[in-house]
Amino acid sequence: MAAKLNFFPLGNADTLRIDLANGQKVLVDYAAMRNGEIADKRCDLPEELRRDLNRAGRDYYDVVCITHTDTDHCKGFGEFFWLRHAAKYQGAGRIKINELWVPAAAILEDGLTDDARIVRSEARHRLRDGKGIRVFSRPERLKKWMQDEGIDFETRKHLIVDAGRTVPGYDKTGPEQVEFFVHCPFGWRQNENTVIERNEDSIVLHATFVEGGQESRLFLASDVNYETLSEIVQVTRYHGNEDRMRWDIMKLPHHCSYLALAPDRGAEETKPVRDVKWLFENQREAGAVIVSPSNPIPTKGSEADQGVQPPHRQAGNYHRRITNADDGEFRVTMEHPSQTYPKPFAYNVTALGIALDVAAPMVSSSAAASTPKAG
Amino acid sequence: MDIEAWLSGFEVVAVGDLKSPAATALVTFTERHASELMTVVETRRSELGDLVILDFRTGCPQKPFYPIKRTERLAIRFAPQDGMPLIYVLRDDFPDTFHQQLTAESAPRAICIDDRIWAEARLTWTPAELGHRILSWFDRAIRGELHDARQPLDPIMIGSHLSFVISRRILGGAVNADLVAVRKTDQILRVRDLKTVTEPVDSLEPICLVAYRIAAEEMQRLTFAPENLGSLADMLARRGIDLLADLRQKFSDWLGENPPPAWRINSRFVFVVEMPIIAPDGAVQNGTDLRAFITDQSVGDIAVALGIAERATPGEGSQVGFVKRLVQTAPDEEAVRAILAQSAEIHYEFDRELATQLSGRKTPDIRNVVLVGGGTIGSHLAECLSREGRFEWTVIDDDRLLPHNLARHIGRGENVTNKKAALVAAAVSATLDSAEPVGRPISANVLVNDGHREEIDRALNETDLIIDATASVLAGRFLSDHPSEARRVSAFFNPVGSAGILLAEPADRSLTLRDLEAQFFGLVGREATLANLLADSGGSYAYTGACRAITNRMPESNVMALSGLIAGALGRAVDQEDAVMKVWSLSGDGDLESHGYPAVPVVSFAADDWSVVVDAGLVERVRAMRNARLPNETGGVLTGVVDIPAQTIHIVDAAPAPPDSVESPGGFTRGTEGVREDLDGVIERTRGQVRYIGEWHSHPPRAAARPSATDLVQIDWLSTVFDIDTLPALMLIAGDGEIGIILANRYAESLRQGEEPDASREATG
Repeated sequence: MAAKLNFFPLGNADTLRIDLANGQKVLVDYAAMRNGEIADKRCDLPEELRRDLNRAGRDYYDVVCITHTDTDHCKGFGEFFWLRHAAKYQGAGRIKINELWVPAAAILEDGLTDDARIVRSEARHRLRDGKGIRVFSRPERLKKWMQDEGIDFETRKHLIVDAGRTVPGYDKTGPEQVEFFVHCPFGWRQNENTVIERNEDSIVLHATFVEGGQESRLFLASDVNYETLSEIVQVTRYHGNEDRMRWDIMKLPHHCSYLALAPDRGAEETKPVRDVKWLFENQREAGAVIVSPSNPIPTKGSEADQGVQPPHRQAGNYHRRITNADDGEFRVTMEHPSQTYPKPFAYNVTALGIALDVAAPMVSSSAAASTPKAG
Repeated sequence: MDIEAWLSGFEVVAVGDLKSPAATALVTFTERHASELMTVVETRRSELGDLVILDFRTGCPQKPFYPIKRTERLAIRFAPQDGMPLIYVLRDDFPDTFHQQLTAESAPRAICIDDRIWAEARLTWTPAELGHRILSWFDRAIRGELHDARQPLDPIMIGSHLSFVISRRILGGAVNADLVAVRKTDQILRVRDLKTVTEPVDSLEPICLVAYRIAAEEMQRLTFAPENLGSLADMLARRGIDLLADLRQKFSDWLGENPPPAWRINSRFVFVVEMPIIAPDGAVQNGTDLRAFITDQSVGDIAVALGIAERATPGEGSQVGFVKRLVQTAPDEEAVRAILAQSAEIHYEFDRELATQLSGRKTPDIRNVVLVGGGTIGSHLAECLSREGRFEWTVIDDDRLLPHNLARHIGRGENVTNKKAALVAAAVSATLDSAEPVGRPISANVLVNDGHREEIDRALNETDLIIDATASVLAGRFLSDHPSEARRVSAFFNPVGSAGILLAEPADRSLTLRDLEAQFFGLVGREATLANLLADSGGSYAYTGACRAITNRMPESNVMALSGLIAGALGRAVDQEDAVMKVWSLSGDGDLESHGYPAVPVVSFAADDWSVVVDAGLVERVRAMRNARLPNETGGVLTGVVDIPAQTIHIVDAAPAPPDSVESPGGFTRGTEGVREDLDGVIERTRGQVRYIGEWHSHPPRAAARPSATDLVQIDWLSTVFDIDTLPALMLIAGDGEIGIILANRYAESLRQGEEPDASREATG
């Protein structure tokens, strides 16, 4: 079985399910955005995920990674998952998490509400418990909080993953056929920036998959802006880790916002700053794919085009142009296969590179995938 | 290739204006169920049918084997006549791959997703299946798994679907014969030599055919089909053939003949081009591809366009309508391009080469065969084997076809009263296209010394193989004894028509049909599975010798099944060196059992005028029985096949000692218990072919196989007994390491243990 990257139409929100070659399932963000209205075209995420888990005969994820605790990355967390920190989250049908990945901010930040708060409670509980968690941070950053909490730092140190490392337990040569390299959060920022800024304290990952001896690379940029991206580029180049910035498929940061490219939106096309341009243009592999987890790219002059919220047409134009230039693909979650009826889609990691998962609908396969009832 | 120009031949219409229900169904399906796979761009139509233009998501990865796009724009064409929908790829740089249809130059490339016949495919065709097949094509293209190099000989899509049926022989010598196309339908033309045609004139069309062969080193893969004489010439020019110059020379020669070949000059002109098959990567594949291009104009008209002739009436000195120009001019480029060259498929006439290929063999089998017996089994064997491309046939039979024969013969009602030999020979000749008939009859009895004797003997002497299909023991033995050096094969059915038997001599004839027949009867007498093989339906027996005479109640279905099995085995048998003995039995409800038996070597002894044949299997069995009873002597009765006129005895079996025998180291007295029953049983099972022929016994350790004084007394007794049948008495003695045979009081040469029976030996007497 080859790895598969599953995207979901959730509006301006992120969820990516990575099915690994050995059957493990890694969920990056969970944003159950659908409000239940008929006109809401966003998919019913818990329903989609449950169907997949049932098919796989599982009631758990090997990893759930909440890249940061904004609503569009963790909405519904408290309703869907079986959580260790409180009995009220332990009802039947909830989905278990073997390992929870969070940025340090999800432990340290105050003033969180709703699902963000639930994520924090669960993360803190697991850290105290000393299992089922990885915190992405410079280790020293958590020291004080742990002292205050009376937790022995030394016995928890191994649960903390610093930037510039790969996540333990995942190896290209292992049965999982993947390794995750951590780009962000990177520790030195903390020394010169006393303000904890959620977006910029997000998990940015680079995954290298191996299939049939061929490597394919996924860049997961959470919601970081051009400044953070530029810093990541600089740090990574400084350390000679350019390979960790090559990509075959990119999940766009911040729902195709121009701010992930440059400070200026541009009239027709956003012009990215130098380092971001290097990432998008020099490090892309031929035929690489960009997925924008966002609402449809607005048409020129439309109401959305004039608003401030992403996705931005100018950023979309940039991504579309550079993708088309090398036979790549630019796909928007709320536009596939059509804006009228967006549906979840997936990319396969193949020995020939990243390929859209397509199937021809057949009566037999449709029927076989259903569970008809008769009464 | 101008995609836009091609598309502009179709008018954009609303879905509701499409004529083809299948096209409409595809649009509906795409919109309702397959939006993730494909998107309808627009719909078009023209007199060439409906087009549904789709953007199709191919699932292409970053590094595909062929440069396929992630989304390809396709045009699905639904022809006005119900036909297989065709899948065009609307991209002028779409790669050349395996499994594409050869389209005309003016049409886009088309992928071949379905090689079924439409009449068959339409029974289950749905738009979903179409989507599935297109996706599967792309999936294979992406992974480089479109392996089959042979481009399907699909009809050219634009224009009519024309086929030629033509003999390889005509193609070889095309220009020398006056040819005619016999029009069977609008789409099939059968090219024949005018002299051999019997069809009515109005179905005939004069045709002139010229064949070209592209050298392998000149060949480039054909990616589009030429559409007119000009583009055909361009295509050939790129592959090392100067078509126009060659035609000018040929036409000029023809027009210069006196009188000019009117037939040819007024014929439509056909080019046949034989080209090596080239894979998309340029590699030369096995096999060649034949394509025909038929012009819409006559040789004379083409000659005019080529600047070497002008039209002329009889008054102007031409009986053929054209005269050669005194001063030849350059070809009229425009006129040449106006001469349409319609591409057509070529089907070879069914000849030995094609038959061989289609039956799955590699080398044509041109051995001469004399088939003796053109009856039930003979006619069916000839039918099977000739369709497999085997043999040059001489059929010998003196019988005529009677109405009841139709129950089990390849003859038809119109053949009744015809000679079977002629009928079977004509059938094989009519099956395989050949310069000389493949079949030749000799309507005579193979046994009779009449006016045909010399012809029959010559045929037998000159042939490579003799097939005995006479269903007659007598004829079979006659053929076995004939001085011809050809290898013999015998095929027959059992009396109730439920089993078929094949006996094939080894290539070196170290075993003859007679030897194999004896071994076969030995097996029938001995093997439980064959116990009822020769029984007749009543279960009674008579000394008719009719072990091969089938009853008149054998159904043709059995004949075909068993003949087919025998024919297959016969073909395989004569393709190798060893002897073959094989039996197939059908049960009443059609279950089949088959048994093969090893033929064992024999040695023959001569004593007086008789010859005695012993096979190695018997010697082995006798030795085993002796060893089992040592130090005592043992023995029993001998059975065998006797041919009194030919004075031969094949010993087929030696029975173990009856229970009431007296065995001791110094002697053996054979008992009587069960002996009568056993002998009767063997006679019944073999329908009298195997009978009691004498006695055997063993000698104790260190004793030779020479008869003792007691033995000589016994042989005297035996002689008295066999005098009843005027047969010689036979005694076999198994000694230490040797076997002795005494025939009619004479000692024949013994056989040492461990010594394999080989070539026949002189008995010492």
